[in-house]
Amino acid sequence: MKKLLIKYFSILTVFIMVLGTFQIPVKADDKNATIRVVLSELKDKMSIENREVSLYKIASFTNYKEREYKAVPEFAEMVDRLDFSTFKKTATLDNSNKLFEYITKHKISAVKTLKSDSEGIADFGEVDYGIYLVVTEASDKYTVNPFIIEAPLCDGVYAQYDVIAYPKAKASNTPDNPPDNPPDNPPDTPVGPKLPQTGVQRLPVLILFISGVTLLVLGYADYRRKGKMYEKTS
Amino acid sequence: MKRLRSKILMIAGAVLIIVSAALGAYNRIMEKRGNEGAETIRTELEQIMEEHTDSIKGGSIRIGDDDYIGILEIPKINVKLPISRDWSYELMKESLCRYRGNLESKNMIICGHNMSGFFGELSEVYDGDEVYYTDVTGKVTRLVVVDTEYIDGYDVGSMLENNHNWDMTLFTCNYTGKMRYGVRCVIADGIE
Repeated sequence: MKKLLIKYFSILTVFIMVLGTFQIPVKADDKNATIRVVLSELKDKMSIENREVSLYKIASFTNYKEREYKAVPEFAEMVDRLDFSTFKKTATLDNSNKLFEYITKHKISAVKTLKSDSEGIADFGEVDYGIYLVVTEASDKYTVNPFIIEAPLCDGVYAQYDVIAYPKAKASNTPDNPPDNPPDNPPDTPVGPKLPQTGVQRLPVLILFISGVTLLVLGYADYRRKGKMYEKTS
Repeated sequence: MKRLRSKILMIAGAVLIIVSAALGAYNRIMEKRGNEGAETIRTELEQIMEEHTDSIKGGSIRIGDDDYIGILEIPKINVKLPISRDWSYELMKESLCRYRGNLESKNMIICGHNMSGFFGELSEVYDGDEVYYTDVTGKVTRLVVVDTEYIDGYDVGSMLENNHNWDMTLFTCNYTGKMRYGVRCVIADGIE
């Protein structure tokens, strides 16, 4: 009885280990996307509080994995002129500035405007899947360039549903390209709540191998035991 | 009939071993392709940097559809790889990626896969080891490792936190993929 229990426990453990190595795909529509903006000063990392941050919806994703989207009616004319084929091509400073000019010219309202809290955070919470422009109120101290963000942020394989943006806030009197700093500093790709997965799949190889060997040994032992029982009875 | 269970167990075991072997082979192929791709990009980068052609715009060089900001060298683990300007899982297959920041602002973070030839041996880099960063203008900056740490994969804040105690951070996944091994470096000028 004890041996039988050990055997079943071993088999159960192996199956749990095997199941644990597979990533179960999440049904996209079941997940909500959120956007959070964290404002801090570029050099001293000081949080910028009490600053108005506005979210403008530019387009809705109909299928974010395939980058299929539909422009919001107010932006339809403008979106046709911009290259949104990849996130990299979408979230350029040039596109952001063009959209910002368009908003100013056509007096388009934001879908949501918040003030950053004491930690510089403007948490927009759940948002529809889509492409957004984030505009931060300028002040005499700091300037944050408008920037484009997507929710969820997807590179075709992995999707980040909780999108956190850390835009650069520069001192208002700092020119964009100081003459003593010739290489321009590229904009940062918005980061999600998780650091990039930089590991190749080594652990599943080991787990699958150990599980396989365990099952093979158990099966063989079972085969031998039954063979002996059969010999005794005959 | 009585031996059916034994046979099922043995077949299942054999299948799992075959799957693990296939996954292992796939990893090896991806590593080989990654190293070959990185070598090609690096060679092209070095050539463009040497010739100072018009491909150098701002702080990056465009190769194919992607922009590269320089080359990172860690002599201790024999790594010399191109760094792409942006990060994505696709780019990480053939280069290191700038995750955030830049060296001018002393807040540059570079991530790389933990496959061999990339950051697979990053955990062997300790305090005092040297790192060289060459930007697209050919300017070489020598950095020295001052700290190493393990950071949870979801602890983005700790990775970004910088109280002026590092100028560049390199990171990669640990074996399980749950943690990130971070190597903090400072520009060597003024240390020695």
